[in-house]
Parts: sequence; structure tokens; C-alpha cells
Amino acid sequence: MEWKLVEGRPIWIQLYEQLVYAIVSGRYPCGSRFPSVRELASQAQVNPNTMQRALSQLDAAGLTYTQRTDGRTVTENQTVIEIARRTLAKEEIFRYLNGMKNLGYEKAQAVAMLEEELAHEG
Amino acid sequence: MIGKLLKYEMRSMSRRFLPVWAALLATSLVTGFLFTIKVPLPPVLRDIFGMLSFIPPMLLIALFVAVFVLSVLYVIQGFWKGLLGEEGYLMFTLPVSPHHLLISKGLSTLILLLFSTIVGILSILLLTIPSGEITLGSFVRFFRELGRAFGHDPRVILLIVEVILLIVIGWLCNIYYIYFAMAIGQLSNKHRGLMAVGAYFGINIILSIIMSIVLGLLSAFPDTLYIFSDYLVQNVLGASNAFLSGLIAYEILLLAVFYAGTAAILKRRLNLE
Amino acid sequence: MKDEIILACKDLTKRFGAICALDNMELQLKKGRIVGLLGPNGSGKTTLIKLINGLLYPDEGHIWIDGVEPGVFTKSIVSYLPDKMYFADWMKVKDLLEFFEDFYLDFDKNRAMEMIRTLSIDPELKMKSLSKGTKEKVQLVLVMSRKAKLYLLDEPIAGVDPAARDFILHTVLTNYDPGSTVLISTHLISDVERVLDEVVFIKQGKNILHDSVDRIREKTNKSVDVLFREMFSMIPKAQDGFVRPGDLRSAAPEQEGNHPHPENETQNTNMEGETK
Repeated sequence: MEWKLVEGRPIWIQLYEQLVYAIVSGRYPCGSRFPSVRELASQAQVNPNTMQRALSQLDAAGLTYTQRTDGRTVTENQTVIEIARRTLAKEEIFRYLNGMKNLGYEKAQAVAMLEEELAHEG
Repeated sequence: MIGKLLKYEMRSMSRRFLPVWAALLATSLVTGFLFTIKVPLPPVLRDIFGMLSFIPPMLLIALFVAVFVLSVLYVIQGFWKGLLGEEGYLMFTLPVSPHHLLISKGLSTLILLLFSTIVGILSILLLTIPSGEITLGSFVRFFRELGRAFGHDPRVILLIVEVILLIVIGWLCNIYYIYFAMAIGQLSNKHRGLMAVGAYFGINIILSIIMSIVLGLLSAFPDTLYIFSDYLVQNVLGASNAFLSGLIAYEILLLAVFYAGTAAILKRRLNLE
Repeated sequence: MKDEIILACKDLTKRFGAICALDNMELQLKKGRIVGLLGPNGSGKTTLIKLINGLLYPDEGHIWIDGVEPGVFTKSIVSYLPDKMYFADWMKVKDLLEFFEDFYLDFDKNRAMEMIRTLSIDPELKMKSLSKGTKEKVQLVLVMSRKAKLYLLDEPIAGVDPAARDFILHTVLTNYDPGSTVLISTHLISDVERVLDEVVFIKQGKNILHDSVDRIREKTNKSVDVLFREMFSMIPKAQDGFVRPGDLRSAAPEQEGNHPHPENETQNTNMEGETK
């Protein structure tokens, strides 16, 4: 998977966000085994402790769980994943609206333009 | 750990010296045979042979010089490059004490000088053996004569041992003298080599001054000299023994000073490039 | 285990003539961290590393590595990569492996051999026949094939191409033992920032900042690289523009709204408790 890190924000948060994205987008399906800290750290070329922190955050958010013997597994609980997906979706929506606002469009105009665009797309 | 360090020292040494030693011995043998050839040759060949026969002796002299120069270079380079240069970054971060490094360097150099000397003696022997003038028997005779000359006095053996000790300790002393000078030289950031040479001559001057003071003090008491010369006349062996023992003690003292000084600098004031 | 101190420096001072290379340096590193030692050229990075590995002897102050002052024992648990080639060049690659195996009990020859093979380097080749880049790789392989407690890497990525840099960082990440600490000195921060747990900023021989990378990013909303450029800027500012460690603590993050994960907040202040 492609890792993108930007300046100025904690690395572990960025890793966490990208891992959440990978889970909700189905890259790591429900109940599947998650790669090890080392594997992910080496893949992203980041410090294992930083990756560990991002993964612990996944556990804390309930998206993954850790079993002593079996490593880390993606939750089977669809609801949790759906909530995470909604959160990300909301962000996307806000980002759109925010962008339009910065361009000087009212909310209603933004919605109208979006619908227009969708109609074009068919 | 000294054993392991020595192993690598010997490896690097043999790589460089085995070929030169072998060449020296081979050339000696060839030259020795050339001297003995007295087969009548046709005039044309004789001229060519006459010209060619110059080559092995010249080569031999060149090789003798080479062994000497390489040995001196080895004393200097082994320490300068091997410990005080970039290789020092490896050697001084090994889990060994600086004393082990210093001892293994000194010992391997001593071994090198011993081998070079033995090879040198061997090559002279090889030179003379084909002529048949010197045989193994002549050595036995030489030592027998020597023994007879001193009336089978057991102190002769002591004397020989002392001479050998004096030579070996003298070598060690000179090795660590050079090391000490280089250790002082590396203290300088810019003119390391110059400083090392300066230190070498500086130490030499200091030692001569001390020596002349000691001799001056001795001559202030002329009685001692008379006593010694009397003793020398009456008892050559005893006096020589005393004299050699004194020299050995002096060299050991110098060696201790050079070693301790070098070790202290390497421990506290190492200044790698 | 993780909170044990692997390296401690107290009042560490080293002078070269009139120049004070290290000036009452204070530093403590914990086990299991990858730490960046950052500072411009001549700030004392190499001097500090040489004091830790015993190539220099301090004028004042003390150093403890795993509780012991530098000596034969500490050299057996410290693995050091200098910023120059330190091998007799007549040695073959395999001779060097043997050399390391002879002197370092923690050297894993099989692992080194495997890495040499992965790099498709012929172990029968003499060092002098290898290119500079390959020599550097061999040296890194040797240093990282030890199971040391403290790795000291002096400018490992200076002057190498991006592929070699990735190889170096990859080798460090995959080979260091999770219980050991890696100290990497560099002035190329953006290249190593993501592999670091912590950074130490060193200026004129003093430790002026020691914090975790993520904490710096959280507090300043800047990458360590940007912060470094600001702190060590050569361009004079209107006032004294240097950011000091104290300033960082008070600097409130400005763009909080951009991070839509409320759970981040609770993590900001306690990083130690979180790693398992």
C-alpha cells in the first residue's frame, strides 16, 4: 500500500488515518489478519514504535483487536467499520463544502452545483 | 584478545613480506651458483654471461635494501596507518584495551624484524654454500673455537644471551620509540607527520643531554672509572657482563617510558583524523 | 525494560584547543528508541559520538552506557558506523566478516552473509576492488549485523543517492533489535524524520532540544525539518528569532480543526504510556 506522509502533522496520526482508510475501503476485510508492526513499519519506512502507536489507536477505536497468540485482526463488527466509514465520508463532505465556501459559494449553491455535475455524469 | 589481534597483524605482514623474503632467498641461491660456475664457455657466450652475471648480485643488493626499507616502513605504517589513521576507527572501537593493541603491534613488528634478520642471515649462507668454502662444519668449529678462547667459562653463554637480549630489547625499544614519536605527532591537528618527526629528534636530543649529564657526573668521580678499567683488565668477562647488564637495564627503562607514554596518549588524547 | 536508560551524559565537556566542541552536554536516551542527533556541521555531533564510543576522552563530565563508563565492556555493546571507511583495503569481504565474528560476540555472521548475498556482493572480492557505495553498504551490513545495545551511526546518509538512502534506512529498521537504541547523526533531517522516535538538537556543543518527533509535530504543527531550519537559520531575524525548548511547550497548535479525530487529543500528552 502507498503511504503518504506530509509535513507538520504527527506521523502516527497520519499512519492511523491511512490504516483506517485501508480498513473501511475493504483492503483489509472484516476478520482478516493484520500485518505485523515490523512489516508495516518497514513497508512505510517508519519507526516501528510510531507504527505501533498507530496500531494501538486502531485497537482503541475498536477497528482491530489483538490476541496474544494470533496477532492483530480486523474486527468482525460491521457497525464499527460503518461508523468509521461514515466519519471519513463526513470529512470528505465537509472538505467539499469548505472548499466551495472558500471559493465564495453558498451551501445551497454548492449542493446545486454538485447535483448538476452528477446529472452530467449520468 | 592479543592472540586474535596478532593473528590479523601476522596475516597483513606475511602478505607483504613473504614474497620479498622468498625473492631474496631465491636470488641468493642463484647468485651463489653463478659465482661457482667455472665451465669453459665459447667467447661470445662468455661476454653475454659476463654481462648477465652482474644482474643477480645487483638484484640481491636491491632486495636487501628492499627488506630493510620495507621493515622500517612497516614499523611506521603499521602504527601510523593501522592505528592512527582511518583504520584506527575500527581498531579503537574493538572491545579490547589499548594496551592489547599496542602490545600486538609491537610484538608483530618484533617478529617481523626477527624473521627479516633470519632471512638475511640465511640468504648470506645460501650465497656462500655453493662455493663449498663455508659448510655447516665451519660453524661448529667457529663456536668451538670461541668456547676454547674463553676457557669454557659458563659466563660466555651468559654473555651471548645478554648480547641477544640487548639486540632484541634494543629493537623493541626502537619500535616503541618510533610509536611514541608518532603518538606525540598525532596530537597536532594540522602537521601530524612533521610533529612526529620533530618528536623523534626531540626525544633523541633529550636522551643525549641526559646521557652527557650522567657521563659528566661519572667523570666527576675519576676513581670509579679507574676501578672499572682495573676490573676490565683483570676480568674481561665479568666487566663485559656488568656493562651489558647495565645497557639492558637502560634499554628496559627507556622501553618502559616509551610504552607508558604511548599508552597514555592513546588512552587519553587519541586524535584520529 | 523500555524505560531503562541506555545512555547518560552529565556535564560532558570536550575542548580542542580554544574550541569548546561539547559544552556541559546533558543527555539521556532510553532503550528501544531510534534517535536523531541533529545539528549543523561543527555543532559537536561527531565529538559526542566519539566520546560515547571511546575514541575521545572527555575533559570534564561523565558518560555511562548501560550504566558503565566507556571502556572494553561498553565497546562490546556499542556498534559504531563512522563517517569514513575504516578497513584495511587488502581484506576480502569474507575476511571482514571473520574479523567481526572474532572480536564481537554479538555478531551474527549468517545474517551478515545473507545481507551481503541480497546485495549481490561477492564475498571473495577485496575491499579495494569495490566501489565507494558498495564499501559503505558492506560497512553498514557489518555494523547492523551485531546485536548491540546501542548503535551509533555517524552521518550514514550524507552524500548517498536516494536508493542507497532507502537501503540504509531499511537496513536500520529491519535489523535493529527492539530493545536497543539507535543514535543517528545527520543534518539531512527530512530524509530520516519518519524513522525517528526522538530528536536531539545540538548547537555549539549543547543539547538545546530533546523531544519526540510526534510531540514536536503536535506542538508546532511543523515538521522537525522545518523547525530545525528555523532554529538554526543563518539569516538574521528582527528579534532573536530562535525557538527554545520552552517556547515549544507554550506554542498552541493552531489548526486543531483540521484533525477530525477527537481521540488524538487524549494521546497528545502521554506517549510513553501508550506503546506496548
